[in-house]
This record gives sequence, C-alpha cells and structure tokens, in this order.
Amino acid sequence: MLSLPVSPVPPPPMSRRVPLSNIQNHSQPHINLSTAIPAKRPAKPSRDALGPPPSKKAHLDDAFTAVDQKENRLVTPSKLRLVPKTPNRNDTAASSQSRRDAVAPPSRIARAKAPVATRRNDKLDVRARERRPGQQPSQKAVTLKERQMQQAAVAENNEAIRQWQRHYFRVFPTLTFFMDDSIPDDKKAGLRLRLADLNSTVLDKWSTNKVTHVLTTRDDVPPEFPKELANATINPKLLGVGAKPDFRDSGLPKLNVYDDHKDVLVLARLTNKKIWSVEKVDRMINTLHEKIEDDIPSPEKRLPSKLKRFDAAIPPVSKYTAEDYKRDEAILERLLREDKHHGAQSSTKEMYTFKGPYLMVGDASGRYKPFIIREYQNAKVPEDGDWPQFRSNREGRCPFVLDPDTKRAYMREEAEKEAEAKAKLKEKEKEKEKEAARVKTKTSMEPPPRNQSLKAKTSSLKEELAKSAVDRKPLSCIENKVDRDLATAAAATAIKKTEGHLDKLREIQRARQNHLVVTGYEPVASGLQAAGPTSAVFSQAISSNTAVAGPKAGTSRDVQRLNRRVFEKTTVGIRQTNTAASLNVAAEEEVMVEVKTERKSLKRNRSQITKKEVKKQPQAGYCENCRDKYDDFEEHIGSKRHLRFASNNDNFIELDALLASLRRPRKESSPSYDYDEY
Amino acid sequence: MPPEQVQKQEHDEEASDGYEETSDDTGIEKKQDREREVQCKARVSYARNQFDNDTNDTWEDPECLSEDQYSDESDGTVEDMCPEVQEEIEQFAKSFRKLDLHYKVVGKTGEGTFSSVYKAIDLRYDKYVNDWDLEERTAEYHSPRSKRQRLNHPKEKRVKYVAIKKIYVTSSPQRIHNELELLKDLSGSKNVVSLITAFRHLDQVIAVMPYFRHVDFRDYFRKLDIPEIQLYMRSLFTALKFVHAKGILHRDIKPTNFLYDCGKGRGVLVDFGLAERESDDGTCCCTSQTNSIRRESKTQGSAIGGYPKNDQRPSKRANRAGTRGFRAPEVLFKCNAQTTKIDIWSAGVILLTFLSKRFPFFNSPDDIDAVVEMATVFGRARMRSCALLHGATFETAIPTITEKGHSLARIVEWATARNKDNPLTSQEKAALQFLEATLELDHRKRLSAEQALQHSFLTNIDPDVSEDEVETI
Repeated sequence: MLSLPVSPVPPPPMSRRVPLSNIQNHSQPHINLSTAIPAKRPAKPSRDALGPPPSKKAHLDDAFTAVDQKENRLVTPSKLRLVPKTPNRNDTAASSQSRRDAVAPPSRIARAKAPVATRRNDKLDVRARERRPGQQPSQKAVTLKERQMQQAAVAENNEAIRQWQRHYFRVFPTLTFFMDDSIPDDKKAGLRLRLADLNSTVLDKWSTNKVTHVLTTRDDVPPEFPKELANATINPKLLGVGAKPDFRDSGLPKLNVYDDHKDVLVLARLTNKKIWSVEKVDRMINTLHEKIEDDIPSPEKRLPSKLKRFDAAIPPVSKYTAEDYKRDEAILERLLREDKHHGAQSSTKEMYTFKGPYLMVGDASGRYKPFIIREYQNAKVPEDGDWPQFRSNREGRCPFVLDPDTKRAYMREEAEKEAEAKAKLKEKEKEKEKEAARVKTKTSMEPPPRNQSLKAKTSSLKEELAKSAVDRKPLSCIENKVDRDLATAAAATAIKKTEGHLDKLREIQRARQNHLVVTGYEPVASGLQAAGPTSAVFSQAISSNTAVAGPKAGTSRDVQRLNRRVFEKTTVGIRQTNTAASLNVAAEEEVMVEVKTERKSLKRNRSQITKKEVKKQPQAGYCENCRDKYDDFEEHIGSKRHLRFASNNDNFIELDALLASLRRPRKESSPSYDYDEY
Repeated sequence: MPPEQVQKQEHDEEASDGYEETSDDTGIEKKQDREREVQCKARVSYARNQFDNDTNDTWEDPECLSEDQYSDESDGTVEDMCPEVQEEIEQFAKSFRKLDLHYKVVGKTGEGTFSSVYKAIDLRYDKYVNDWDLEERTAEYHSPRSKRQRLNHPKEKRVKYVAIKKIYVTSSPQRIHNELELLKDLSGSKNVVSLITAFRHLDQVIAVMPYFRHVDFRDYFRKLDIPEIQLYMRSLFTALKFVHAKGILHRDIKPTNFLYDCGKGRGVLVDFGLAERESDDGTCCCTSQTNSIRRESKTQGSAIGGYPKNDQRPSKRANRAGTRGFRAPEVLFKCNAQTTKIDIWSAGVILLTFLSKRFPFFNSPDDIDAVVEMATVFGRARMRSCALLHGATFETAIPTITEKGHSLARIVEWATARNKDNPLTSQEKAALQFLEATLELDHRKRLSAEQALQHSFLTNIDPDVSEDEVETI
C-alpha cells in the first residue's frame, strides 16, 4: 500500500511508482492546470488526467488503514469496520486509483471529480496493479440501482470520514512537527498556521525529544528500515510492522545535535520520527476541515459518462489528444469553479502570506484574530519604505515624518545617482552644478548637521527650484496642498525647461515620492484597516506642520479651514496626477499638460470652496441619545425624535441628581435674586 | 468689555477641550458613524492645538482605527474669530435663559466632537462662594497678572474668567454624568481642574470650570531648560498622583490637556472626558504571571508570516481611548486590564518631546503605525516581550526595526543632532534616566506617579546650575 497518510513511511517517492507513473499521462497540460490551482492545494502533475481520481473514500481508506495499522491503539477496530467492504466492480480501478493517489494526493477537486466512492481492497493492491489498464469493464451510464447503491455507500463513507475527522482532531494537538529545509518559506508559514490551528506544535529547532513528525517535500526520503529497503516491498502490512517501534521508547541512542547528521530526514529515521510529505499533511488538513454532506452528488456534479468511459479504459499517452485535453480542461475548470463556490468554508483556512515588510500583532491564545496586520510596500532601500521610520528632518519636527525639504534633497541625490550612471553626457553641466552647490550649501536652511551631508550634494539649480517653492513655506507644509502642488508643478515645469533627460528621472522620483506622501499611511494589503483618507491625510498635514521654528501660524481660521478643505478635495486629483506624471515621463509634453491642468483644477477647486465656506456647513454625526446618525447636526437636534428625548426628564434622572449637588453655592450675604442659579 | 480689550489682556489661550471621543460600548455601526462624524468635525473644528484633537475612545474596530481628528491651531481669542464663530458665540449666549446675566462669553477656545469650550467672564463671581478659586485663596493679592492687564485696569477688580464647556446634546447623559462626576471627585488639587458648577436645560449641559492662563506648548517645548522641564514634570506628576490616588485614569495625558503656565511654573490637568475609574473587571494575562510565562514558551519565535484570509474569529476589543502618539503599549496591545500606568507612559512621551525637542514625537496616524514607531525606538525583542505580557504575539519584518532598538539617550542625541563637541549634559542624562523609568514598556516596572515624584529628577531641581549648561535654541 502506497498511501499511508499516518504511517511513519513517507509517501512513496516517485521512483517507486515508476510503472504506474508511466501508465499515467504525465501530460504537460495537466501540470499547467494544477498549477492554476491555488498553492494551498498540492500540485499534482501526475494526477488523474485520465483516470478517475481517487474518491474521498479511497483517501479516507488510506487514512484508516494507517490508523488501523500504525495507531490502532488510538482507533478501535470496530470503528474501522463501520465501512463495510462493499466490493463493486470499480474495486480494482479504485484501488489503483488510490495508489495513484499516494503518488499524487487528491485535491478537493479531484475528489469531487471522482465517481461515487469506491472501496479499495488493500489486498488486491498488488494484483490490481499488475492487472492495470484495460481490464475494467467499460462503464455505461449509471443505472438507478447503481445510484442507490452508491448513495448508501456515500452515506457510509461520509460517516467514516466524520469518524476520521474526529479522530484526527484529537490526534493533531498531540503532534509536534518539524519542517525540513526543503519546504519553501511561504509554504512553511502557511503550514505553520494551519497546524497551529489544529493545536499542533511546530518547532523551529530540531529537538529529538519533542519532535514527533518531520515534514518534507523531498523525494529522497530515506527508507525506514534497511529490511524494508531490501525487500523493496510495498506491502502495507509489512510497513506497518516495520513502523511499529514507538519512537518514544526507542532504544536508539538519543541524538540531540542536529549537526551530527546533516540530513534531518536521516536523523528523523534514526530517531524514529515519522516523516510526512507536505502534500500528505495538506491533504489531511484539508480533509479534516471538509464539510461532509450526506447528499449524493447531484448528477451535474458527476462526471459525464463519457469521461468515465474514458477513465475506464485509459488510453496510451500517445492517444491523449489535444481534444481530450480541451475537454478535460473544461471539466476541471468547472470543477474548480464549483469548488470555489462550494468551498467557502475551506477557504477560511487560506493564508495570505506577506510579500513586503509587515507588522502583525495577534492574540497568543488564538481566540481572536490578529488585531494588527499591515503590510508595507517593498522598498529597495529602507528609506524609501512607506512605513514609519526615523527620518532626517529639521529640529522640532516629528522624527517619523518625512520632511519635504529633506526629502527633496534626498530625492535629488537619488536622481543624480541614477542620472550619473545613465547619462554621462551631462557630465559637464553637472560639474557646474556641483560647484554651485558648494556655494549654496551655506545658504541652505538651518538643517541639523545630519542633513547637511544630504543637502551639500544638492545642485544649485535644483535648490533654486525647490526654494522658489519652499520660500513661501507651503511646500514644507503639506497642509497648503494647493500651493505645494502648484509649487511642485512649477518646479517640474522649470526643470523641464532647463534640463532634459536628467530631469525626467527626477520627475519620476518626485512623482513617486509625492505619491508616497499622500498614500503613505493608507493601509497596504492588510485588507483590514480602512483608514479614511481624511485621517491619514490630516495626520500628515498636521505633523508636517507642527512645531516648525518661528511663530505659530498667524493665519485666520478661515484661511486654515480653506486649506484643509482644499487639501481634502484634491487628494485624489493629486494622486492621479502623480501617477500620470510617472507614467508619462517618456512623453515630456504630456506631463507638462498634465501639470498645467492640475494647476487649473486646483485653482478652480479653491475658488469653489471659498464660496462654499461662507455658508455654514451641516455637520454629520451620530447621536448617542437617539442612537441614530444624522447628516446635519442642527437639523437633527431640532427633530421631533431628538426633542422627545431631550424633553423627557426620565432620561436625565441620574444626571440631574449629580447636577443638583453641583449647584454653585451662594454667599450667605448675597441676596437671592430672581436669577436662576447658574 | 469690548472684545479687543479682552484680546489685549489675554494673549494666551484657554483651556482646550478639543477632543473627540467615541463611546466605548457601542456597536460597530455606531462607531463607523462616529468616525464619519469625526471626519466631518475635523473639517470645521477649531480646537486650539493641532495635536490635541484626536482623542479616541473606541473599542477595537478595524474600521475606525484611525479616526483621529485633526484640526488646526487657532487662538482662542475674539479677534481671531471668524464671523461664523462670533455668531455661534452669540447664539450660545442666548441659548440659555439668563446665561448672559452670569457669564459673558468672550471667546471660543476649543471645539471637539462632543463639546465646545468658551471663555467667559464670571459676572457674578462675588455672589458665590468660590472655593474653586485656589489662586484667590492662596495668593490673595499677589497677582500674577500681566503688566498690560494691570495697566488697562488699574483700579478695577480683577476680572474673573471661567471656561464654559458646552457639551453637545448628542452626548448621552451617562457620558456626561461620568465626566462631571469624576470632575466633582477631583476637586481639591491645584494641579487638577475643578468644577465650579454645571447645569442642564433639556438636553443641553453646560459645565463651568476655572479658566487657566497658559502658554501654548509649541511655544515653549523647545525652550525649556532642564530645571524648567523638571518643574513641568513635577507639576504634571503631582496632578497624576492626585488623580491616580482617587483610582481614576485620565486616559488622555498630552500637552494640550495640561495647561502649563511657564511663568508660574504651574500646570493644571484638564479634560476628563475620557477618564474612567480603574477597575478590576478586565482580564489580561499581564495580571497573572504564570499565564504569560506559559504562553511565552508556546509562542516564542514562531513567525507565521501570514494570516488566514477569512478569519472568522472575533476581534479582540479593549479600550483605546486616548490620543495618537500618547497611547501606552498596553493600550496598543489591547490589554483589558489597563491601569493608571497608561497615564505615566503619556507623561513620559511628553518628557521625550521636551528632551528630543520634537513635537509630536510619535506621529502615529493610527494604532498600527504607532506600534511600528514604538518598535522603531524599542526594538523587536522588547516589543515582543511586552506584547506577550498582554497575551499578544508580535511579529514584524520591517527592516528599520532592529532587534534591540535604540536607547532613549541615543534617540535624544540623534533628534537634537548631538556630536562629540556637543554631548549630552549631565542634567540631560539625569532626565534620560527618569525618562527610561517612565517610558518603560512593561507597565509593572513603570514608575507610578508617586514613585516618580520621589525620583531624584523631580526632587532635585536646581535652577542655578542650568544657566551654564542650558543650550541655546
């Protein structure tokens, strides 16, 4: 028996299965298909392109056999017998399927695709294999009687699966896994979570005492016992016997040092750890989480009889035509769709694996879902990262906020670096610039020493450009987004005029960085945090505007309010422009047009808002008393409903009692006027 | 008195009440609503300080993690008021029958989601017993008023100002009750605001409190020398000790809620809108040591690197009321047994602001970035163990977060651009030592207000030494 989900034997490597594999169609198309399946499902290149995939039942049987043979102390035989051996004419085929299954475990899809569950007969295994293809009587459409039989079988089968699930839900928490290096990291992470979900322990470091199972994706799993190796037999019984020695009372010397044995699998063998393939674990976990329903698969869900016939008589590889492939693909696609639809539950186990720098804070008890999940964008250099980090900026400013001035200098430097590499033509011009920069450094704005180095390298021309914007302060103050963008636009235009290719690069940088400022605090890929643009943007605005040297902003509230409004309104526009700018670098003209229109639209926005601000703006909110939201505060508090609450003194009994004790005490000499006491 | 005069007399600003808060016992929908409200308010609010308006009182709800409200600086003086505000003040004055016989509203000093604060003259001061007026009681005629004021009113009695807090009618009576009750309990400290009176008409509740002259934090936070910082901190910790001794958590310690008068070296803690009584109800594994140790052994070091896509598990909820950038680690880690130590942390952040001369120090647009910022300073190892203390796993792959983090001394050096020629002074080092004890991730090891007051940093204030060592800004 080849497929022993719980056996100490690793799933037999492909090499053992050569004959079968040869019979199977290892057709490229199927590899493609299986790779199209989400990573969670083990890819099964050799899978049932042609043969009917093993049934759930067969798979279950594997497990049962394993339980029966290896861990019968955990499962009573009676439970196993719940599934009567109901030989049917699919027997042999089924058994061979199940063996193939061992090579390539069934996915949900595969199982769904399988005809009605069939019972595998272990003992027939070898013979069945010998008999292999063509010996099946060709199948016709399923008769009613057959269907009923199948229905009964399904019910039994389902019960068996539930038994199996119950059993393994109990077993998994007792297991301690170790993953070998052959497993890719992302896969490891996923497995780790899924195993943790089952309360299994996963160790990062090898511990002979603790580890019970080793997970691997390797094919060259060392054989369990030399004896087995010599026999080269696949008799499950034998394997079972061989596997019997319990690692816990193993008489073998304890090996505590992993390094002694470079190969963890060898080590595992020596210490009688079970070695499971990742596929097997995947399959087991999937089956564990599967919802078993008693209803017989609806006719549509079944394979077309054509396919069955096709399955029954597996044609040689050569005869597997493109047409066949097309058809199979269509079926698979349909099944995939169904699976997607139907497998909503199983998808809860799907993992998102971080691809960039992330922060995750979760609940250690596992009762709650992680409450902090955020993934930031990948950045070539950390400084480009969009996550909070120490930034060089002026004294007084928040150290976590990118100072636009410093940033500009940094960007310029970056752009220069790139340009240097790419455009040596401009070398002369550069020389000039640098010289000017040296002069200019002295006049640059009071940065702390740290920033000097950055600034020193900036060129005079660009400094000038930046200054034209900075001078008015708005550039450094995101709040005045209009000005800032106008300035940026102006700077961009000016740059365009004076420099050519070099500045395209800069423009990209600028656009990118600008984009970063605006989107910097929006949630990235976490899918959980829906921070409104208002708060994100505001936070930027405020912090960039806080504590700058000099007097507090003397602007009137109206003006400030205007700025705020404008900023809010233009956020989207800005982002679009930047994107556009970065996309259009090649077409210089376009960028300029874009910039101009942006400026116009900003102006328009501003004037619109000025008009608007004169009117009092309705304030939306939530009324705790009416337990209702409102669009207009004034309107709401005048509403019947609210007034009803307000005029009902019963709502204020407790408060009134307190207020009574808060009356302002009169001086005794003071005559009591007819004023109400306030 | 015409507004212009008022403006002249009072160049400083008024107690801010510009906070927003969100109920702690409402459903998600409600919170979303509030978030909307918050965002809307943010557009029109005039709270005094940019950084003082983003108080939240939300239980975990991913949708509103960053509902913080921001608004801009504006002086709380009449002169600055746009017609809209003037009109509003007039309306407010009229809204209460005969209110104008008692108080003359002269300005608006703050606006939050749940209240607006106006500055007013207490017209009938003399008719009442004014136990709340500690200044009057203790300092009799030793008037600390500004010269200008005395010149303007040489003969007149001093005008008594009060802060009138108009609590919006959309706030529940329970919420209002909570704040007023705590304020009532908290009378008797010169470092904590007291309540003069409060009254209700229908759904409108008004609270009258003393008005405190103070200077805007951003005007002085870079200018204070170490002894002055010591005075500030001692004043703040005195207030905290008083509040904590009553078993009350302020929850929103930040510069704008501590009205500090640099001249007098005295500060007053205001705004108890988020305050709550310390309770034993909540459970967190930080309260039992064995628990956390067991957890530690199980979860340590197994980075997952991903999360389930459709996690059906519930969200962990914990009170996170407070202001961004000032939230203690246990708040961010959703501890359900938060103590008065969260206020100590916030006070520590203020001290860090002084020493690093950066305000705000933590930007923390939301709680997630707040954790990133905190981790940037303290490093993975310490964050991990702090998280575990509260039953949380901490996992990050952000390259700028180092395993060991940085010492606060290093941070201050960096933030103030120090080098060999310009090293930290001995005073600063002493301050840093105190800072370490207040910005301690493990709240159990963090100083209490009482302990802090006994710390040498707050007991040995020597203004004379400062002259030499203080650096020019």
